[in-house]
Amino acid sequence: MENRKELIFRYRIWWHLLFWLFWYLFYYVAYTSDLRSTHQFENNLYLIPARVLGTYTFIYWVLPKFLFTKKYSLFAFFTMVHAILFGIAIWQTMAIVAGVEPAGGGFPVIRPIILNYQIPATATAIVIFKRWYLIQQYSLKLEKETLEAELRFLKAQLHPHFLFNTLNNLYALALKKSDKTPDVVIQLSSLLDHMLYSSKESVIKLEDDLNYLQEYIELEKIRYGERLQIETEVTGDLEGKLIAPLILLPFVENSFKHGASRDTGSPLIEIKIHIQGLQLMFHIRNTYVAGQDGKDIYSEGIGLSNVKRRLELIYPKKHQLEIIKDGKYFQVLLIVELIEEIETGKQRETLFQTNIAQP
Amino acid sequence: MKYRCIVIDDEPLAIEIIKSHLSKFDMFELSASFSNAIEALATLSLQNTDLIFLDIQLPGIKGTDFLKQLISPPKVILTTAHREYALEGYELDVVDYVLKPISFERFTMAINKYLRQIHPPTANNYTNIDNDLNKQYIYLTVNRKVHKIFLNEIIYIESIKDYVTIHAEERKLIVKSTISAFEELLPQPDFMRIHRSFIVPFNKIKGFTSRTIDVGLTELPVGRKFHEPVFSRLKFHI
Repeated sequence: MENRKELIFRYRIWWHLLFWLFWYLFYYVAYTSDLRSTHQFENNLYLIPARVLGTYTFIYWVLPKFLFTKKYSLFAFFTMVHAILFGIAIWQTMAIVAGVEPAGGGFPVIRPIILNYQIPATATAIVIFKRWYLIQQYSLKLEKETLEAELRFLKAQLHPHFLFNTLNNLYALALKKSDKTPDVVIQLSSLLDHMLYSSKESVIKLEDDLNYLQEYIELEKIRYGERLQIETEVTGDLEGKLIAPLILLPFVENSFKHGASRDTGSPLIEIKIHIQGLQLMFHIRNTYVAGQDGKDIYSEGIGLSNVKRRLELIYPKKHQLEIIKDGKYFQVLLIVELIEEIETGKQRETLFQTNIAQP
Repeated sequence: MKYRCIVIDDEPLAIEIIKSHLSKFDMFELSASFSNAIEALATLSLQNTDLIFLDIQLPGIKGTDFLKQLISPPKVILTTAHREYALEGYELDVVDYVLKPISFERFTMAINKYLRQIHPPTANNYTNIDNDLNKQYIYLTVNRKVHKIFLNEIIYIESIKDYVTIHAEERKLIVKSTISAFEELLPQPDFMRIHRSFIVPFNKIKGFTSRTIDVGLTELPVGRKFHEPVFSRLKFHI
C-alpha cells in the first residue's frame, strides 16, 4: 500500500501550485476582454495573498476543527464569519492596492464573496474527497485484517495435523478391530465439539473444561504410546465454577508439541491443577529438547502468544502467569480467578461482562 | 528376493498401519521400524534397505532433513499428516508423498509407483519387451483383496467413468482410478494409449484396420487423437 501510493497523494506542493495557477488563469481569462492588457494580470497578482490566506484557513482550520469533529452548528457559524472576513480582505485589497471600489451598493462585501468563494469551495471539495477516499481505503484494510486475524485464530485453535494424525490412529485401531475404537471416536468428536463450539461462549463450567483437557490428553497418549509418561492430578472443589474456554488447553498442547514430539527418549509431562475457593492454580511441567538450530522454540509459539493475549483481554489483573525454563524442564504456572456460577445462564453472562468491564 | 522396507514414525499406531498394509504384498517385507530417524541410521548402513516409509515430523531430526543428509538414500515414500510439506517432498525426489490417514488403496498406488521407478522404461528396445514384462507386475486392490498382475498378462485396459477395467488373461479386474493415473503406472513404449478409454500392450496387438486394433479376441477402436502416433508405430514394427 505504502509503496504504491496513488498519484494524487504524491508531489503535494506541485498539486497546490497547479491549483493556484488554474485559478489565476481562470480569473485572468474570465475577467479580461483584451488578453493583451496587463491590467487584470496585475490586479489578480495583488489578490493572491488574500485568496491563499482565505482558502488555507478554511481547509486547514475551519474544516478540521468543526466539520470533521461533527460540530455542525459551529461549523455553519464559522463558515459565515470566514466568508465575511474573506470578502472584506478581497474588498480591502482591491480598494487599497488598485483603488477599485466594488459595485454592490450598501453591502460592498457581498460581491467579492460571490466572485471569489469558489476557490475555498473547490479546495474544500478536494479535501473532503481525499478524506473520504482515505477512510474508505482504511476501513477496507481494517476489515481484511480483522478477518485474517479471526481466521488465524481459528486455525491456531484447531491444528489440522493433530486431527489427521488422530484420524490415522483411529484408522489403525479400526484396521485391527480394536475395542478402543468407539471410545476414541467419541473422544475426538467431543473434543472437536468443544474446540468449534464452546469457544464461542465467554465462559464454560470448569468441570467441562477439565474433561476436554482429559480427552485431549487421552488422544495424545494414543499417539505417543508407551514412550510417554504423563501424570495429571486435580485437587479441590470444581463444582459451580466457571472459566473462559481454551485457556488451559494451549499450554497442554504446547507441552506435547514442543516437548514430547521432539523428545526421542521418554518424555515426561506433569499436570497439577488445584482449586482453592475461586482460585485455580494450574501447573504444567514437561521435559523439552531445544530446537535443532538452537532457537528459542517457546518464544515463537503462536499458541502461547495467542493465549497470553487472551488472558490479558479476559482476565485483566485477575491472572498470574509465570513461564520458567531451565535446562531440562519447561514449566508454566498459571493462577486464574474463577467465576462463581449463578443459577441462570443470563446472570452468568452479565457477571462475566462486569468482570471484564473493570480492568 | 523380497523388497526390504523400514518404517520411521514416532507414533506406534502409524507404524502398525504400514506394517498391516505392507503384509498384503507378497514381494515386500518389513525388516525394521523406528520411532526416530537417528536410530534408523545404524540399520541403514548395515543392511540393504530398498524402501523407507518416512514420517516428516519426527523427534530429534525432521524426516526431510534426515533424508537430505543421506549420501545414497534408498527409495523413500513420505508419510505425513502435514499437508504443507508436499512441495519440499517432491523436491527431494521421493517416490510418493502419502497423507495420513493412509488408506489401503492409496498405499497400493504408492507401492506401484515404487515398482515403476525401480523398473525404468525399456526405451526403444522393443525386442526385449517379452522378457521384461514377464518380470514386471503391479498390484491392484479390489474389495480389500490384493491382486498381483504381471504386465504380460494384460490384454487391454478400458476406462468406464471413474473406474478402470483390466482385462487380463483368465480374469477381469475393476479398480477405482482414472485411465490417465493408471497409464502412469505402466512402462511407456510397451503400453500404448489408443483411445480416450483404451490402453493396449504393444506386443499383444494381433491385427489392425485403418480404424481398429485387435487384441485377444476383441476389436478396439482407435481414437482420432491417437491415430497418428499409433499407426506410425504399427507400420514400423508389425
